[in-house]
Amino acid sequence: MKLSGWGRHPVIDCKLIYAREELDVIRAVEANASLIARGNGRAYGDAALNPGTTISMLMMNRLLHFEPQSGLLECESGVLLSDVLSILVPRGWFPAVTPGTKFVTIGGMIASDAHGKNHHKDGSFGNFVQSLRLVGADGSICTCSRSENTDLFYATIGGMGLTGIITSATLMLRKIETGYLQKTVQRLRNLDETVQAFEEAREAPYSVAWIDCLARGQNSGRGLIFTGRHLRCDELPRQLQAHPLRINTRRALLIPFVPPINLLSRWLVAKLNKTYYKRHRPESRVVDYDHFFYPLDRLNQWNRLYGPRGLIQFQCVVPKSGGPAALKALLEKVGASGQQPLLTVLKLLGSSGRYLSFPLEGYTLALDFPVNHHTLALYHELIRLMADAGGRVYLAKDACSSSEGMRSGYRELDRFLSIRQGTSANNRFKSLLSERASL
Amino acid sequence: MNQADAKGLVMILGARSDLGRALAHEYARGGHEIYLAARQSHRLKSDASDLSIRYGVAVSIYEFDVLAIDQHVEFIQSLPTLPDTVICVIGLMVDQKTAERNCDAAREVMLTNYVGPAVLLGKFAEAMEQRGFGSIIGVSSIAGDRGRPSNYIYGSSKAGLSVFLEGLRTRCSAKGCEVMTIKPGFVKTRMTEHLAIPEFLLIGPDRLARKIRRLQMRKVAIGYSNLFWRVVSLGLRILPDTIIRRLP
Repeated sequence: MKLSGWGRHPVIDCKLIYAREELDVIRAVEANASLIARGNGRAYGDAALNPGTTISMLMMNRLLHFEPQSGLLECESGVLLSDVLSILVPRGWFPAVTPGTKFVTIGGMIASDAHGKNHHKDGSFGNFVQSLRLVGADGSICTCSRSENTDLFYATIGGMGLTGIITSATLMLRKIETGYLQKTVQRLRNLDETVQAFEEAREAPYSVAWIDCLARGQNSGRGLIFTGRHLRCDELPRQLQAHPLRINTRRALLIPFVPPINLLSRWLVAKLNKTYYKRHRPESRVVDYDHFFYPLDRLNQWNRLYGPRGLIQFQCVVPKSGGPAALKALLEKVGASGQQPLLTVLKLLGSSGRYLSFPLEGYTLALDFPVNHHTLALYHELIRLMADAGGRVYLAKDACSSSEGMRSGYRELDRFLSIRQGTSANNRFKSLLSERASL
Repeated sequence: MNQADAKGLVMILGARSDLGRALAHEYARGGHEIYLAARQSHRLKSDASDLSIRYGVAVSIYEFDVLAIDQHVEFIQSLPTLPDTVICVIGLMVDQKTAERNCDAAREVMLTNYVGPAVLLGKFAEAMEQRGFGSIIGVSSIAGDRGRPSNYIYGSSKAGLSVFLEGLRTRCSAKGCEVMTIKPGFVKTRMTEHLAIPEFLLIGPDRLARKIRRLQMRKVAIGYSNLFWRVVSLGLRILPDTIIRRLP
């Protein structure tokens, strides 16, 4: 079966099997010498690909236990975040951390320790995982939490599936009164203003910036900062107060097939970016959570727009001290290359996670490129700049960097590797990503 | 009460199968109370909690083995309430070559696909007739339309089920009970996972479940996944033997 990550690069022929219950996972681990778990395939690169055996967890999507008083949810790892939202938002609960798409599995979010627009305040998804069940290399089940099998617990959060297969997890959710947020938009004229804006927005629960990567010279780093906070019921406009937790989910538009060429040509990307900047005026208004968190989900399978060769996303984090200078260097490199990323996102991250978890206190920058030899060359140069600044690359997005590039900046990597070896997981749980990074 | 859209009680026989799970979701989403029945029913616990958390409906689990034919009557009597709708998705497919060589395998296919379900659904129909309403849905197969060398053991058992359901339908319709036969074609489940079937021929279990519920509301006698399989089935049934003999 031809499989790929969300970036559709690389595409690899893998033996794909489906797990329906924990027993299937145990049998698969016992029967296969080398395998990796796969969620909804939203990691961009090769994190969930193993030509030997790739085990899809999508059919393990049961909600096992929910406490309506405390918002504690136990569910299988193949549950989609979109299911959690559609079922639990009407009951007043929201995921404590959500990435920019809702079509990810709970297991996938744990394995990549997903972060969201509230990372500067709340940290990453792993912070809200209370415990998890993990099938180890010998097929035994292990319950991990902050008090039980602690090392394995922290190594699994952000561990890219390399410590075992997560079958279920218990999560803490966030109480909400309404499904709406107050969204504010501010225009930023250059990178200094952007950095400054993040400082000023420290108290905002959610913040993220979009950068116009095509602006040069004085305007370099200009963009928009979006902040948001959940609204209380009495803050809603009157017409929404009757059903504060019910939002109208718009029908997503589907890109039905892969066009023969990349439709996001440089000319079009330039136009789109320019329009995007021009269209946004400073404002503050009430929007529903779908609008605020998941704008791209309204274009189903948007990755197909990049044509048969697919896309790569570069996402790194650079430490806060010296961050602005590193960002400037990265943006200048992109500008000088003549390549135009469709979407450039900047976000201030809070505290660091453990072991292989991506977040680090500093700035994270994400750029999308179509795959061609120019952008691949640029990608490697960006990795080098990032490594020089002491940054890390987000493994869930990476598709093509070298072993050194992937390892750089992960200070607790050796500890991670020794934990992984301690459970013999290194002999069984492998992905193309782990091979590439020689983990 | 005897209408599917009146939120009646729905029992799924073979609830651990992919189609069984999909049907349970489909009917629970519609607000129906659900009975799940299968072998090793303890493995259904997580499905039951999933359904009740998602849709807020009552779900109960029953241990049931379609091959324990002597106990079918007892099983029906042991249920707290006779379901409004009984859906049987029990099925077993064994590779044709294996089934040809191995008598036990062939026997198991026949018992699982035909004898067991037929005896059971016959008894359910009896109870429903007495009550005066009820709906029975049996999942048969297009493989039962004609015998072909590649799959005639499985096919013959499904042919038996189709004919049985047809007879039962006519018998029951006078007494206010409905019997529907579903002939889905290829469904994307565990049964077809290892077969190299082109993607466009496969229908997902979720879509089929939605279709089955709609067909039940329309009180269809024989239902197909879609027009394509309807035409295939028609073709298989009307083509003369000389042509059928050339098929795999």
